Amino acid sequence: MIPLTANEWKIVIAAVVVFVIVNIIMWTLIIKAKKNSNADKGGPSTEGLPESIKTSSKKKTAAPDPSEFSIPVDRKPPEDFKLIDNIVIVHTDERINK
Amino acid sequence: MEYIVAADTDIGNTKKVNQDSLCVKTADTPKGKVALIMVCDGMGGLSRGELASAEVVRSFSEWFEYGLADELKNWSWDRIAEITARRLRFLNDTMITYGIRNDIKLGTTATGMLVVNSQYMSFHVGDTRLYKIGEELTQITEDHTYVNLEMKRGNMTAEEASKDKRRNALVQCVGVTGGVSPEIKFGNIEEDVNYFICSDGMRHVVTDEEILDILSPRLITTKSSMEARLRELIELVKLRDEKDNISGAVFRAEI
Repeated sequence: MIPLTANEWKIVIAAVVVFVIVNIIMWTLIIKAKKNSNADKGGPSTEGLPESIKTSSKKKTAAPDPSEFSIPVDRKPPEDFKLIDNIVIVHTDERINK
Repeated sequence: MEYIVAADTDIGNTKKVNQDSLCVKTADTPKGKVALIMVCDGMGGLSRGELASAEVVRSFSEWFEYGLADELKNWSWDRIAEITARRLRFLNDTMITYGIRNDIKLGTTATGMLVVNSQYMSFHVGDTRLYKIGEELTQITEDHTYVNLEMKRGNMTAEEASKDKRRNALVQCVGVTGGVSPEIKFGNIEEDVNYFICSDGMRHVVTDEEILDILSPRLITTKSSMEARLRELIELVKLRDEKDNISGAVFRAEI
């Protein structure tokens, strides 16, 4: 067996270091993704489905205009629209569209 | 004509957050009576399911209160169906964008019923169900689940589907996937019939016969009896150790 020169050793060590770093990054991402998918099992989810199924409903349509779906802050319900029952149950005060 | 409504939800036995959202609204208008009944089940496998379900419920609730009156002046069910589908697609796009920006995934089912006098339109994405409860229990909506799709294709029996580990997996929801094609149906409100929308947590551990027995229109004639019966069903579900959040809303018209 021919002994390696100093430069050859440097190349081998550099390759090992790169290999280790790539593995650390890869496994960190895999574990993070797995943690997210296992976060809270029990309700409905889209996990575990074939990609062809998940994307089967991807009918792309023109992006709707957001103003169509927001209520101006000064808008009031019409006077002849009399609300009788008004039950709204949500479990967060956060809003996405505000 | 009178509308009787009730809504109730429970966090269940084990979850730390109730990710379900619901609304029940009725109003008197110059064109008659109107109602919106809606249940959204935030997706437990994803983070911030409660934010997704709340966003959808609030969006429809606000539209009912501030936007429906204008539509009533020139009423068209076709136009309402289009508006509803567009709103669901907008909410879907909004959640996907929000999810990308915040590095989270959020999604929800969305099942509702808009009633104008004695006609209704149901709109539905996911596995929350709308039932008609008369002499028998009839499921109006179709589950947008992987196992239901496989059963329709003849690749799976009902028994296999009930045991399959992917039985909760949705093929469609608001958020998560790139597009959404809501199921929209129209019908006439029937006399002596209760309409019941419930999250999957409400129905996993009880049989159709039990739902029919507890929410039978023969036993529900007032708002208080409707509320009591709905709570009774929730307590039964909890006794059987259901692990999911439990939510339901009931509507009935006295024609």
